[in-house]
Amino acid sequence: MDLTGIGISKLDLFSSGIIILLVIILALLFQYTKVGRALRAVADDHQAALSLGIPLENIWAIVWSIAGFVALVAGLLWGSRNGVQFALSLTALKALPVLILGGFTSVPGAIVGGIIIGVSEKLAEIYIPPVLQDAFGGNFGGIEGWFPYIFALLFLLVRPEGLFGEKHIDRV
Amino acid sequence: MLYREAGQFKTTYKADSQIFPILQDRVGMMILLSVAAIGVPLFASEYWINAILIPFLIFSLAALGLNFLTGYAGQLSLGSAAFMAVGAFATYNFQLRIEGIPFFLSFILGGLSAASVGILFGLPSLRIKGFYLAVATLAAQFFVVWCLTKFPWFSNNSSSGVISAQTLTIFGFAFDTPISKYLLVLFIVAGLALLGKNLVRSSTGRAWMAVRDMDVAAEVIGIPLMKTKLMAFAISSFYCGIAGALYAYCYLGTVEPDGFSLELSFKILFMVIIGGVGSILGNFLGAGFILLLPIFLDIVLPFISKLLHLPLSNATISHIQLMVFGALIIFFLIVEPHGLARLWQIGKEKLRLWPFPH
Repeated sequence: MDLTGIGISKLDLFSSGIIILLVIILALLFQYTKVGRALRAVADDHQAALSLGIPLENIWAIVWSIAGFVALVAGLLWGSRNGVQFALSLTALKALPVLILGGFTSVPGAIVGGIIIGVSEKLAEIYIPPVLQDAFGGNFGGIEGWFPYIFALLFLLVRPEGLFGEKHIDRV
Repeated sequence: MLYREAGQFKTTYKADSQIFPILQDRVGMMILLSVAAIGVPLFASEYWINAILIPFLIFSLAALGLNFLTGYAGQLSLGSAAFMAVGAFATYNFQLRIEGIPFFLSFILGGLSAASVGILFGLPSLRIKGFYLAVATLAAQFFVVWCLTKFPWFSNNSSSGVISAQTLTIFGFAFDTPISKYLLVLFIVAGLALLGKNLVRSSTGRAWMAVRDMDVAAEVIGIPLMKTKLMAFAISSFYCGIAGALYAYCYLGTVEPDGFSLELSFKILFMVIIGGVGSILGNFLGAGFILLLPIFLDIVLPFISKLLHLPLSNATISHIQLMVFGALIIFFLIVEPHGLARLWQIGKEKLRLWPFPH
C-alpha cells in the first residue's frame, strides 16, 4: 500500500489494528471487570487479596493464560514479519526495558514504551555508529543490542516508576 | 553430623567465633583441602582436572561473587558474565601493556577494574530495585560485551576480539601444565572463599543482609545504603572479575567477548539458585551440580535409549539434556527453594539426632 509516498505494508497495518484491539480489550478487562479488579488486588498485596476471598489459584491460572495469549499474539505477528528463530527468546528480553519504561501496572504504558524503545533503538542503530566511527574508526554496528537497556536505565534514574506507573511509597 | 559439639568448651571469644567451631568440622575441612591439594594432582586424570575440576572451581568463585550481591545484599544481577569479561580482558591488557608486571598484581588489577565497572552499573541500584535492577544489570551485560567486541584496543587489535592468554609466570615458575594451573586456581579460590566466609560474618556482611531483608528499615537503623550497596557491587564484581581472569588464563586459554554471553550469566545465576541463595557452601554445590549434570546425562541418556530401544540421535540427546535441566531447576525451586546448601544442613541436623527421630 502506498499513501503519500510512504510505503506501508498491509501486514503492518493489520498487526497494528490487532494490537490496538488487543490493548483496548485488555485495558477494559483490567479496569472494569470483576476479574480485572481481582487481578489488580492480587498484584497489590497477595495476603490482603486472599483474605478478601479472592481465589489466588484461579487468579494465577488467569494471569498466566492472559500472559501466554498476549505473548502468542506478539509471537505470531513477529513471526509473520521477521520469521521465527531460536534467538527470538533473546528478543523477548527487550520486553523488559519496554515494561519499565512504560511503567508496570499500565497497559497503555506498555504500548507507548514499546514504540519509544522500538523507534529509538533503530534510530540509534542508524545515527550513532557513524559518529563513533568518525571518532575512533572501525565498525560500531549492533548498538541496538544494548541501546534499549541503557536507555531504560537512564530513564529509570530520572523517573523510577516509569512513564505511567504508579508511584511507589515505601513503608517500614 | 554423627558427632556433636558435646565436651568442646569455649573459653575465649576467639575460640567461640571460629568459622568451624567443632573440632571434627575443622579436621574434615583439613582433609578435604589436603585431598584437593595433594590427592587430586596425584591421582586425577588430566581430563578430570582440565575439563571438570578447574571450571568447577572457577565457576564456584563466580557464583560466590554473584551470591554476595544476590544472596546477601539482595540485589538481583544478570550481568555477572560481563564482569567476568572485564576481569579477563583487563588482566590481559595489564599483562600486555605494562612491562614486567607480576601476574598476581595484574589479576588484582583486573579484579579492581571489574569492581569499578560493577560500581558504575551498581549506581542505579540506589534508586531502583528488584526487577528494575535486573534490567540495569542486563544493560551491563550487553554493553560490556559490545564494547569489548567493537573497540579493538581491548583485544590488542585482534580482528574478531579473540585474546590468547599469555603463559602464567609467577616468581619465575611457569604455570603451563594442568596440575600447576589447578593448584593455582585452588589456592586462589580457597583463599577468596575463606575471605568471603569471613566477610559475610563481618559488619559489611551483616549490613548487606539487613539491606536485603528490608532496605528502608536498614537505613533507619543507620546503615548507609549507598555505601553498602555499592560495596556489594564492588566486591561481587571483584570476585567475578578474578573468576573471569582465571577462566581466561587457567581454563580456556583463548577467550572472546561473545563467550561471556548472557547464557553464562544465567548459568552462574542458576548455580547460585540451585546451590543456595545466601550461602558460601552452596556456590560450590551449585557449580558442581550444574557442571556435572550435563556430563552425567551424557553418559546416562545413551544408555537409557539403548535400554528402551529408542534410536536417539546426538542432537535429540542434547535437547533432552536441556529439557531435563530446565525441569530439574523448576523441581528444585519448588521442593527446596533454599537450594542444595539447605538440603546439606537438613541432612546434618538429621544425622545429629540419628538414630532418634527428635
